[in-house]
Amino acid sequence: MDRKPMKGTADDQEKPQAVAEHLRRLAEQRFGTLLSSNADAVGMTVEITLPDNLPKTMPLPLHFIGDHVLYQGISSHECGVIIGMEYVPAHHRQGWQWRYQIYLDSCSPSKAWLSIETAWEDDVVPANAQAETTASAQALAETEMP
Amino acid sequence: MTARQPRALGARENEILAAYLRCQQTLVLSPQDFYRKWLVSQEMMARICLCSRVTVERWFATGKNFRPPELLYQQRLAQIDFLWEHFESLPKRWRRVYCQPPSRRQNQDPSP
Repeated sequence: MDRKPMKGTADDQEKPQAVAEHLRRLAEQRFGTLLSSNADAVGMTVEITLPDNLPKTMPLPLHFIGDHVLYQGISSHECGVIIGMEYVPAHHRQGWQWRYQIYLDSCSPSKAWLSIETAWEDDVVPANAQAETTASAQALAETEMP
Repeated sequence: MTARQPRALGARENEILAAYLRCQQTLVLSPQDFYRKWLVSQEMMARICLCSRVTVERWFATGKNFRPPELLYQQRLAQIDFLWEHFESLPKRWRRVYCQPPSRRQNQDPSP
């Protein structure tokens, strides 16, 4: 089957502006306000108990759907494309964080038995940024070599 | 297509269900305990849990790279641990249901 990889650059100008604007608007509003206004819009009365630790604002994600990313901080070299994202409680951060669904690329060792894996926001970096970092490190190493 | 005729849940089924739901929280094995007990690689653990190698690696990482294992993965480790410990004790009929090689199983239960 022919594989058509998605665009790998994470340039700001190529991110969907509509998604960014929507997320920015969400970050400025309280969840409760959103819920009540949505309920008013459809003429419903809803009573929803929200968790106490629900964040009042939501930061913009560092990555977007379609971005190529690399897992960082570990020795395994896994990479892929973001195909989904959610803002959920992150126990390792004792707070909330963006979590992504990653469609693993063929370069990933785990691709042999797994297609989709999750990643917290601080678990991945843009693939092109990692490549630049690696290139810079190699250039520096070559410079420092006698 | 035949009409759906689901079986009603009786006292027996509800008791078994309650026990099963309790086991969801108790029949678990941590990656660290599993790794201490069985001579397995992290890749094998990833295959058992149906997760990536990076996920397994983070269970054993320290500091900011550590991520706790989700309940689902600890349940899968407990399941294979149970099978490795008690497979021969299972009735042969159950062994075929749960652990028959894929090729033979496909021959008997072809996909629609």
